[in-house]
Amino acid sequence: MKSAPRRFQEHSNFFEYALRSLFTYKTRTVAIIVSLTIAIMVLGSAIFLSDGLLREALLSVETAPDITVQNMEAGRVATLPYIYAEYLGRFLDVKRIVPRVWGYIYLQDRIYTLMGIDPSITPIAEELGFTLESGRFFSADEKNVAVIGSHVGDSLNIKLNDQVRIAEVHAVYSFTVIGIFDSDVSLFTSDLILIDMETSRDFLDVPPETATDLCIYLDDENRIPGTASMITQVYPDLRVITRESMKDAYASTYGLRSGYVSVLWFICLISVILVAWNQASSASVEAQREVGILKALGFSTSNILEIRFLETLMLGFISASIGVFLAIFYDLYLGAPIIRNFMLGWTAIYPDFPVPIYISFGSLLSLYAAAIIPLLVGTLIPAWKSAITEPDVVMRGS
Amino acid sequence: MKVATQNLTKVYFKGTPNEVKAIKDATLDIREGDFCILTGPSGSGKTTLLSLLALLSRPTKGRIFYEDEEVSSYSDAWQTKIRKEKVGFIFQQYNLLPQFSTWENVALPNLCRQMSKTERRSQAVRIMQSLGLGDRIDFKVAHLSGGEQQRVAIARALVTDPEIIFADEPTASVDEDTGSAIIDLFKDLKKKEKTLVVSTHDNSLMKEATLHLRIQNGTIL
Repeated sequence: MKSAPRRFQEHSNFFEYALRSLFTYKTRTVAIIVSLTIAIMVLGSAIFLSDGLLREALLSVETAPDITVQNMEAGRVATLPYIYAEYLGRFLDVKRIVPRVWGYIYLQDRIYTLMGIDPSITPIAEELGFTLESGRFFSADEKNVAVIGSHVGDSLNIKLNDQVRIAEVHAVYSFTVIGIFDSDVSLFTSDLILIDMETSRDFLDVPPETATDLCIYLDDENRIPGTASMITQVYPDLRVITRESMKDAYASTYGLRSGYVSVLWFICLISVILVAWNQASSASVEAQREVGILKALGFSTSNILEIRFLETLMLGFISASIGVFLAIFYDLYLGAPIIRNFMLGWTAIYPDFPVPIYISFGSLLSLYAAAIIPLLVGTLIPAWKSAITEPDVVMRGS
Repeated sequence: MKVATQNLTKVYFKGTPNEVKAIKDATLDIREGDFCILTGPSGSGKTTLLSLLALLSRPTKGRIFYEDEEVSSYSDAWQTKIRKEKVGFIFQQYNLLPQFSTWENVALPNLCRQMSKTERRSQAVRIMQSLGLGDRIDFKVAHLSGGEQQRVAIARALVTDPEIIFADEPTASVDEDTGSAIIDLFKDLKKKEKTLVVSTHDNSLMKEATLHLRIQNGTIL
């Protein structure tokens, strides 16, 4: 009985042969690797970014209220009187209603989200699902304190216990930073400045006893569609947003942006197919003759296909690996210049926003498949055709 | 190993205006240990007949027998297996692979066997030394002279110790000294009772023949 290494010797010999072929035809090998690497890098950076955005969006929905209601006046969002909290609280299954006041502020030419909450009725950590990287949340009786997103701290160069000053026409407000967010939902807390309700109302000019929106939490999540439908019927002037409708909105938003990814997929595949086609046709005379010689020397069709398979697999694998590495480098370390403008779609608001990327096994598999499969097809089919043809005919090239 | 054919016919480009009947109804019988010489003018069909006999090409009509077994109808896989185990072929154009060194070309047929690199190399070196190529072992084939390349091609055909060796004009494009060395080699192979089928115009080789087949316009005379 043959020993194990002996049994695999033939395959090892073929691997050696394939490797030698790659080194022999250096120009061809380098050209293929460079083309595939660029295609995979561009596609990979878009996929990782798109997956990252979608993941962030879906994570944010996980911590969103069951239902959010806003007041619409003449088609625009207006403040919502607190009395609605009383009305809506009468609906079956409503467990709690939390008013929120929020808006946008300019600080050093950048836009940030300012949100006011009342900790006495909104347990921040539990209800909003936010966690802190450092510091603490404020309590109901604390004023002039803020919890900020990590990006706010970075871009304004503010650390824990520093002062953050926001100004409007009539007044300047100063807050001590007592906490910095460290949420999984980094996209949605990154630009957030969380302060007490009263101050935010002053700053954002929200009248007393009103809120920007009301967050409704139900006893039974299964009742969300029914309750939302009833609210719409009873109060047609309110905009009712359920967690499910937020998911739909994100899906359509990122679905739209995924259009870029689809275009890149198409371009990438065309590039790889062109490379594969070039590989198949340019190498035809030379490669066919080689196949004819090998056949004449006793190599079987499967031996020849194995050699070509290994050769192509190495090419595709090396290209995909370098492409994926460069895509990660481009997204993470360079901040995905150019592509982020297309993918984020809000660059005017968040010019320095750190791009969220997510690398899943599925996306990696897709990228490797995109690099390897067309190349395999472009290489193996001509090799197979040569291998099943009479060696004499193949060697003559007729 | 003995080889025979029955009404062997090979037509190229059949059914087209360029149709060529390269071999016509060739019936022959080469016994084990025969030194068969195939002669004929250029374009008479010698190379085609060798290709057919070595199972590198399929006949349009007729049959080929190895040891009384009809092998011409075998599948591609079986014919490949026979070539691997029993046949050595020396091509007129050498057909060496330029990306490999001299010894690697010689050892090429052993690549599809369970042999390590060390074993393949030592076997190739042994046979190359016997053919006077001991100082060319690691050379690129492109750096060898025509005569040396022909000897590499011969070494490659012999490295698996085949039962039957086909050679297509092995002395045609080599100098006189190399030609003599090749003739001596064939004499040795004849002594070892290998079956040899050689197409040639070389009178020295013809003298060694135990069977002389003349071919003209695809017909064995």
